[in-house]
Formats: sequence, C-alpha cells, structure tokens
Amino acid sequence: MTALVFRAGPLLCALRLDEVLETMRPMPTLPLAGTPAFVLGISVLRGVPAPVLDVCRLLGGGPGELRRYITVGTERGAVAMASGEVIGIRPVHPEPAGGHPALLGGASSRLVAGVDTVGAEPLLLLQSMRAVPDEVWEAAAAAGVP
Amino acid sequence: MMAGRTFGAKLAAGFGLTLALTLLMTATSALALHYVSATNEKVVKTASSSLVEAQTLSGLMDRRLADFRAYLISGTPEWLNTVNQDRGTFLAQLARVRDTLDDAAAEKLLNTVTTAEGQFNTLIGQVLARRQKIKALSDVAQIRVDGMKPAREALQATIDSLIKRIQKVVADSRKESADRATWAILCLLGIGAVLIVSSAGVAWRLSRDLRREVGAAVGHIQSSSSELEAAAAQQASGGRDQASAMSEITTTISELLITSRQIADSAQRVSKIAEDTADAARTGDATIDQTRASINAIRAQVDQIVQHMLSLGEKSQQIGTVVDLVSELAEQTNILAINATIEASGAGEWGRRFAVVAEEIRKLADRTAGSAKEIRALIEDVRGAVNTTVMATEIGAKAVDAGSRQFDDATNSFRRIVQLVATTSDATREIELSTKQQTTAVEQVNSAASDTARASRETEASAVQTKQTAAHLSTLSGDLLDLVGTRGH
Repeated sequence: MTALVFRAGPLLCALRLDEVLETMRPMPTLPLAGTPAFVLGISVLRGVPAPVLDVCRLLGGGPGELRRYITVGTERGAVAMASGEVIGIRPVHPEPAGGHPALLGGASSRLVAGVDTVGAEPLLLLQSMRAVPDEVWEAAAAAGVP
Repeated sequence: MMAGRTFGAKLAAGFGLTLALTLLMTATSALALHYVSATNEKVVKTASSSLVEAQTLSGLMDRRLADFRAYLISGTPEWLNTVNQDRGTFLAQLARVRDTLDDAAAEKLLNTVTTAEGQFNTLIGQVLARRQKIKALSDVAQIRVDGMKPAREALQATIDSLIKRIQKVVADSRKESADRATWAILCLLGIGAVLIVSSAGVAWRLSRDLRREVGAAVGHIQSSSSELEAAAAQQASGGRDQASAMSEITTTISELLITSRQIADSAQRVSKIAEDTADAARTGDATIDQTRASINAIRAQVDQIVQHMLSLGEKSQQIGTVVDLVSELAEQTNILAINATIEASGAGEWGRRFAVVAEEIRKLADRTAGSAKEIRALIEDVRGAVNTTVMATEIGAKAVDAGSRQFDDATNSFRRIVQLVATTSDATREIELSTKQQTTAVEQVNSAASDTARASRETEASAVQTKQTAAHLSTLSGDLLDLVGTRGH
C-alpha cells in the first residue's frame, strides 16, 4: 500500500495515497469557536471551504510546526490536515493497530489504522475518514460557509 | 592788626608811619609858613602901600599949600599951573589910595577926604580967581575968603583920620598875623608832639617785637643749633658706619660681579644647547609630517576595506535573496512533485512511470532545497564574518582615528615643546643679555659704591665741620640774645 508520509511534530505519520487530494503550503485559516483544540479553523481551498485539523494536536496533544496542508477527500467534502514536513510517498505495510488496539486508547484507536516503522521511528497510518468528528462539520455549517 | 606779620613788615610799617607823620609835619609846617607869610604880606602891603599912600596925601597937601602960597606971593602963571597940577596930583593920589584900601571904614574916610578936598578946592578956586585980578603983592593980604581955614583944617583932619584908620588897620593886621603865627607854631608843636609820641610808640613796639620775635627766633636758632650739633655728631657717627658698610657692600658687589659673569657664561652655554634642541625639534617635525602622512594613508586603506566589506555584505545579501528564490522554487517543485505523484498514483501504469519521474523531481527539489539551505548557512556565515570584519575594521578605523588624534596631540605637544624650546632659547638669550647688562650694571654699582664710600667719608668730615659750625652758631645765638635783651626769657 502506498501512502503519503509526513511529520506531525515528533510523530511520523502516513495517509493512504488514494485518500490524499493535494499538498500545499498553509493557507489563511479562520479560527472557529466551540471546536476542539485540534481544529485550527476553516480555510478556502481551491474555492471550497474546508475545515483544517492540526494532526500534531490530534495525535500528540501538543503544538507542532505547521509547514503543509494536506487535503483529504471525504464523503462530505475535502478536509485539510495541517502537518509538518512532507517526507514523500512510501510503500507502507502497517499492522492493524499495532496488534495492541487496547493500548492505543479509545479515540486514538479510531484515528490510527495501523503502525509501520521507518528506520527506528514508528509510522502511524491514519484513517482520515474517521478522524473528523461530526461536530466539526456542524461548526462549519454554523459559520455559514457553503 | 600787626599780628602774624613778619618783623620786616612791622619794621617797614613803623618806618612808614613815622615817615607819614614826618610828611604830615612837613606839609603842616609849609602850610603854616605859607599862612603866616600871606598874613605878613598883607600887613606889609597895608603898611607899605595904603599907609604910605595915605601919608603921601598929607605931603601932597602940604606941597599944594606951599605952591598955593607961592602963587599968591608971585602971581605968576607958572605957579598957577603948578597949583592946578598939584590938585591933579592929589586927586591921582586919592585914586591910588582907593586902590590899596580893602577896609570899608577907611574907604568911607577916603570919601570924606574927597568931599573935603572938593570944598577946599572950591575955596582955593575963589582965592586964585581974586589973585589973578590983583597986580600988587600988597593987595594980596586983602584977599579974604570965608571958611578957608576951616576947610583946610577939615581936609587935614579927614586926612589924619584916614591915616589913623589905616594905621589901625595895619596894627590889626599885624596882630592877626602874630596870632596866626602863634597858632601855626602851636599846631607845629602839637604835630611834633604827636610825631614824637608816635615815633616813640613805634620804636617801643618795634623794640618789643624785636625782643619777643627776634629773641624767640634766636632762641629757636640756639636750640636748633644744639639739635643740629647733636644731629651732626650723629651724622658723623652714621657717616663712619656708612663708610664701613659701603666697604663691605663693595666687597659683596665684587663677589656678585664674579657670579654674574659665571651666570652669563652659563646662560650662553644654555642658549647654545637650546638652539641645538630647536634644530633637533625642527628635524623631528619633518618626521612627524611623514608619520602623519602614513597614518592618513592607513586611514584611507582602512576606509577602503570597510567599503569593500560592506559591499561584500551587500553582495552576500543579494546572493541570499537568490538562494531564497532557489529555495522557494525547490519547495514549490517539491510540492508539485508530490502532488504529481499523488495524481499519478491513480493513473495506472503510465501513472506509475510518471510517479517515478515526479519522485525523482521531488528528490532533485529536496537536494536543491538542501543545497540552498547549505548555501544559505554559508551566506549567513559569510555575512557574519563580513559583519565581524566590518566591526573589527571599524574598531581598527576608530583605533586609527584615536591613534591619529593621539598622534595629533603628541604632534601638538611636540610643536608646543618646539615653541617652548624656541621661547626657552629666546629667554636664555635674554637672560644672557640681561646678565651681561647686569654685569655692567654691577660694575657701575661697584663704582658708585666706591664713590658712595668716598662720599660717606666726606660726609663724615662735613658732619664734623657742621658740628663745629653748629656750636659756633649756638654761641652766636647766645650773644644775639644778649644783644636783643631777651636772655633768660
């Protein structure tokens, strides 16, 4: 399976390549009230508003350097994921939840589809479709953005 | 009134007063003599003219009677003419008598005489007329005219009264003259007494002032002579001391003269050294100018280095801009390559080949970005080195400026030293000249000191002579006090 590998703070993450639409530099983002801390806000990408998620906060809880937006297609539109440096496209071979789903926690178990290794670092394969809670879309609809 | 005047003025005033009184006495005497002389002249005039003329009337009357009788006897016309001429002579005498009279009573008597003579002449005319008619002398006795004798006696009586009156007037005038002479003599005696009293007063006053003032002055002279004698003695002693001191001063001045000559020689040597120092300073001045030129050249080179380093910094910045552009292009290429790979992943076999190309492009972009990053780091290093160099160069430039200023200060100090050396040289020359002049002056002072020593000895001798003279003057003052009679006052 081919995936787009990138950094999110200290973590090394990957997204399935068939879910990725585009990579780009960070775009102007409007913060949204009442959203979780990992939601940076909403930005207009290719003429379409899309919520922006901070992958570092989403996975690690702390702030990280934001160098790229990675847009991912979902059933309800594109979602931008703010990340660090994009490493490249790699073939990955994840194991489902690392074989220990209970150890990765409740919510996290819904974000990480599998774990691989690149050298000595773990590579977290994200499930982007499941990573966006509904509240985000509700907040985006409340902001009046079409 | 005479207080405060000098004795000479008093003496002159006294003699002046005496002279004035003498002149007054002389004038008064002259006036008195003139007055007495006028009175006597009046008496003489009255006596010699009026009285004589009046007495002449009596004589003329007698001569007229005699001629009248002669005519009566002779009856000749000659005697008749004589008788007529006698009357004219008598009338003319009456006129002369009238001219000499200045007494009213006498003039009145003279008028009486005139009247009596007219009556008498009338009677005489009658007699003469009868006599002319008579031829014989015996008939003459028959001529009778009444009142002839009383008229003649009345005429004679009036003439006698006139003469008596004139004699009385003469006597009165003589008495008046004697009285006036007596009064003049009394006045002269009075004025003479006043003159004698005034002269005695002046003499007494002058004598008193002479005793008091001249005596006091002579007393002062005597005391001053004593003081002068004491002062002369002291001066003689001082003269001896002064002569001794002048001898010591002469010795000291001789030593000072030797010292002045030594100072003059030293000043001359110092002047020579100062001139050598000034020459060396002028040589050092040229070296200073060369050093200043070198410092200015260093300063210009440092400024050029700073300019070059600043230009290098600007070039590095421009390179950094280009590198930033390259980095930007590499990053953009990286993004495009990744997106191309993403797009190619869904395009089957051709997509995979394109993905391989895109991956290679991404790798090239990554390498380009890495190289740009390294170049950026190198440029930063170069800029840091340039800044450090510029700062070091500026510090060096400041050090050069500070050194230049310090060199300027040193140069100014050196030039100041040169000026001071020149001033010192001038001052040394002045000292040399002054010392020579001082030597000459000291020689003159030495000569003057010798003269002064000689003068001191002469002063001593003169003081001794003065002492003797003062003693003699004191003795003379005592004698003079005895003369003016104020000894012991």
